[in-house]
Amino acid sequence: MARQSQLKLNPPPDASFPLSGMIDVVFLLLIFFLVTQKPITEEVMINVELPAPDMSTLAADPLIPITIDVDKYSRDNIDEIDARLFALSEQDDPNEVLKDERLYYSFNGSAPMEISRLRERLEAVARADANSTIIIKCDPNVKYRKLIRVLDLCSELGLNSRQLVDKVVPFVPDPPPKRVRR
Amino acid sequence: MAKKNRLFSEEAASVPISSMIDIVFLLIIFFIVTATLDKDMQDENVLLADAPNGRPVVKQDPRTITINLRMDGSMNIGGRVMSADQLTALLEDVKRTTPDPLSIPIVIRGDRQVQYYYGMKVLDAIKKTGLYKVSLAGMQE
Repeated sequence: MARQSQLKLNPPPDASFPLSGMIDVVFLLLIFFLVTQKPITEEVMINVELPAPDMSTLAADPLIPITIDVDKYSRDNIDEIDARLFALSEQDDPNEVLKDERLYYSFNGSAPMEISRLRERLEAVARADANSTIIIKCDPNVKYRKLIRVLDLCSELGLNSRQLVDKVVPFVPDPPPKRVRR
Repeated sequence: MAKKNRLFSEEAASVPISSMIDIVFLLIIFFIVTATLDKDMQDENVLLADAPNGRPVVKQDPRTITINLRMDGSMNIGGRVMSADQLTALLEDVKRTTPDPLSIPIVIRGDRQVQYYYGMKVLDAIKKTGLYKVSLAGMQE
């Protein structure tokens, strides 16, 4: 009898989960992961060939390779420089102004040229023989993106045989980099 | 009267919470998995150069060695900073212990701002070991 009354006083606890609170937490987590996901930038690969240490593969190649030099005078912001070249007035002495602002890509030892000119040359090469080996000599002082730009141009034109060769020139390190991280 | 009761019964008015939770949990697990995938080898501090015509990575060889080259010229593999000599030693090790070493792809993820000199050092270190399947990473927006 006493036992029965006790049962009546303490009814069994509610067995269900606190679903609404759980949903709150879960939605918070979901929003957190949605927000922290990075914007999708796809990573791509550009294949390059390296010459053998003794350069024997280069000498044995029957084709005349095409050499592109990438020189240190190429400045970083290509579009800006293009715009400035375009805006030059006739009174300015172009040689003075352009001396260290022109993009110095050179093709088979030619005079330095802009990337658009280099592109024309490479298009001609690609039309003649898309299998020709392109040898890229890159100045150690240039930014890495310059090299990627040339390599990217080659793959756009379907020139898939590319060799990277060192250019032996003195290296001058840039001042320590500053970049504001977003 | 019976019809009316059925229409306005309490069951019909409630949201199907438990199935909703199922879906939400699935989404969460998806995001957790995709967030941690492949990030262990890629250095977040490296801002790659634009290469709109590069070859997208369709199926990556699980043996791929990814070398990150930061803006200050330091290189690391999976966050472990190393010198050029250490890199050569590591690659030699890999070459000795893997059955088909010449087919191991090596990816260099160079920062767009780093000077090519540092990339050259990495390439030299790779060249010494005789592994030639090298590609450079860029990105597409």
